Amino acid sequence: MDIKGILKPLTAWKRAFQPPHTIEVPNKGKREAAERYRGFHYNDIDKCIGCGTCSAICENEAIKMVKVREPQKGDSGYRPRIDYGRCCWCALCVDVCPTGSLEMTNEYVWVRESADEFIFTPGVDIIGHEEKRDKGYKKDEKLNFLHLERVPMRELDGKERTKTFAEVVLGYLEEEARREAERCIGCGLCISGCPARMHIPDYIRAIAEGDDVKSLNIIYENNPMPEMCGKVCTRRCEFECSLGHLGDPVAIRWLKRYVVEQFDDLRKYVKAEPQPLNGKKIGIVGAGPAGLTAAYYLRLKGYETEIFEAAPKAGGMTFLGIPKYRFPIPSLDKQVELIESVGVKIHYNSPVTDKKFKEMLEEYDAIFIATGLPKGMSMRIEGENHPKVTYAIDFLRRVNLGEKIRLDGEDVVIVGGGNVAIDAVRVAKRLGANSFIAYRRRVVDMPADEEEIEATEHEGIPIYTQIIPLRVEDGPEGKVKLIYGKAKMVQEKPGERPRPVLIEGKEYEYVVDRIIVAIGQQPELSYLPEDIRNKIEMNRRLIKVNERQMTSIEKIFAGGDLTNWTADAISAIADGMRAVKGIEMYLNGEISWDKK
Amino acid sequence: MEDLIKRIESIFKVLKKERGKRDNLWIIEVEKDSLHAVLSYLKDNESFKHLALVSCVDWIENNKFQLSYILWSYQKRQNLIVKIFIDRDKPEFKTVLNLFPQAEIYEREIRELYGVSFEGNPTQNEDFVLEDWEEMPPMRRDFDTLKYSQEKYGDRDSEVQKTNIRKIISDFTDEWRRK
Repeated sequence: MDIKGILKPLTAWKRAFQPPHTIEVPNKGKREAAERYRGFHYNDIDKCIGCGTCSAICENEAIKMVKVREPQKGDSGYRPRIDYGRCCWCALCVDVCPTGSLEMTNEYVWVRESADEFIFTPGVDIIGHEEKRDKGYKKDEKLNFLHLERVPMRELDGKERTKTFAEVVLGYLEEEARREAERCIGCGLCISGCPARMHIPDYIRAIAEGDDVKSLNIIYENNPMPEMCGKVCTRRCEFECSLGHLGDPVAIRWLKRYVVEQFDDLRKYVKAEPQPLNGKKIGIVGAGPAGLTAAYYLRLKGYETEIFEAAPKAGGMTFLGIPKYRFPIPSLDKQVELIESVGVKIHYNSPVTDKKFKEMLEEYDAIFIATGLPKGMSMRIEGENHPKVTYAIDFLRRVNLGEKIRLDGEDVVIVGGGNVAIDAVRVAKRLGANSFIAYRRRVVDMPADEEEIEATEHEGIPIYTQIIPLRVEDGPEGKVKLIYGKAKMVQEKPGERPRPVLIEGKEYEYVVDRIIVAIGQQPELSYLPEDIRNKIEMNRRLIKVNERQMTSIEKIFAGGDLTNWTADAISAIADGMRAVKGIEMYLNGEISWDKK
Repeated sequence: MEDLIKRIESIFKVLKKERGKRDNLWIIEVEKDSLHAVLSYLKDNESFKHLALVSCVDWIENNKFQLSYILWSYQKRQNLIVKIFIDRDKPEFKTVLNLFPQAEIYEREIRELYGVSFEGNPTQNEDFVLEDWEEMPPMRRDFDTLKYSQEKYGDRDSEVQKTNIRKIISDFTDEWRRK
């Protein structure tokens, strides 16, 4: 028997009572992966806008979008759901994410019994890796998957442009437009911002592909005044652009402008084929954007449309209110030409009276009123009826109708902070005045477009803020005095817009040649017969309409600035589009005033 | 390191040389037939005794595979990458086992992921990480990952359709056309 062979291995046991020769693993826990490791995804679902770009780029179709919340402006409500059987961790989804909400954690271990659990929605299905997201793979700013910088727009120099009414914005050249159009990732979130729901990604894609005619026709599907919108639109689409989260939004407005500017005569290129007349007649009061839109699309559907317009030209406020350095007459004319060419009849210089309106109620199957807000709002202060006080809208109307006005060397104060105030102050400057703005809130509170406020700066126009007008008095040498007090900004509730409150006791004055008031506008409804005017339901100073633009009076539809509080051209076009559908349904008997 | 490159250039034909992202990293390209001689020279005369990695790049547009041999000198504390190009249609090369025994596993990996075979490596045909792989080597750029995942994983999430976000937004926003 080999006693030695049996006992020898047992000697190893003496080591059991000795300290080990080895050293302990320094980090006894799980080893952490390297920085920028591509582990499981993390998605900040509040930052994510559900644009679907991650899903579109995924080569293995590992990402699907699932509904997590209700869609809203700028957010589809969908979030990416990832199948890790298909994911190859290339991280292209992270690289293209326009908001930077999608990231990867550095976690590489996750054990589950069923393979089916490896399909989940990061950020919604919590798997316990979320706190590790700072250490994993993130979008590399040097990688240029998204083109975040906008192609700059060329403009006239500030000093040069105040001398004339020449157009300030020069427009994109072909190469610039194609380059800008290529930035679009086509997610379509912009559509949720546009009141008229234009097919924005489609026409931008057509520009990028070099097909301007196709683009023009896509635009004309739901906007008969695209050059106007391309120049002066309030461009709410751009505020929803997914590229705007990390960079500049695509210049949607300038691209639309580029396309329409390529064609001198739209009639040759827009495929507008009006249906034969169906015997129904629609009367429209006011040839502004809302009236023109309704007339154009109703005529295409075969209705006979007639517009009655008080001014010598169509366009409404876009003609009478917007200064020519923003929207020149030839641009307007070519769009109206196309609208008239499909058979819309426009009666110029034909203001509607209450007698005429009664006749119209007899003659037409439906009436659409879109007469806008032609009257300036009063400041309701003492001395406001002074002859040196005018309303901005009257001032702009006179200038736009071609009246020769010179204000050389005059001091002009414009009271107000909206787009109309900015237009008035810039026009006055071009007519030779030393014009400036007095506004009761701060510059950040101004409702005017940011770009417009910037433009006043370039043109050397001062803006004085927190000024509350108190009264108007005669000044020396035929001048006029605006007596004002200073305001302090008071925030009553958190999150609410701060309110200007007069600081009592101290008064100041401007001695000027002219005061222009631009604090809002109101409708003028004296053309409505008295019984209708008394009966029609109002929403404060505007006319109340339902989702089909129906007023409370049978046969009468209304739209444009007269009914919506946003009071911009694109909302008016949207109202016109809705009225087309409403009128069509009404005349087909699908809706009626009885069961409204 | 420029001196080192000059010394190499005086002996071998260097097709391309460039500095890497840090000062002690250079990349040189040599002819594939001289690779063994270059590596052996660097190992014996220039103290590059450690082969840190062998890697491969698929240049499908040029119809080439790139093989990179990443060397490290403990003495000089320098990295040198020696790269060669081989024909993509004929993905074969000779092993460097005789110089660096650790190349055995790297070459086996490249053989599995890119399908480049190394003459003289006895274990190269054993599985590295993929078990029972029958398709084209997966790191080749013409490997269709979508087709593969369709076949292997099917539509596991079939109740969720691939969603067209554009359509969702249009449906949500086009109230008056939808109604």
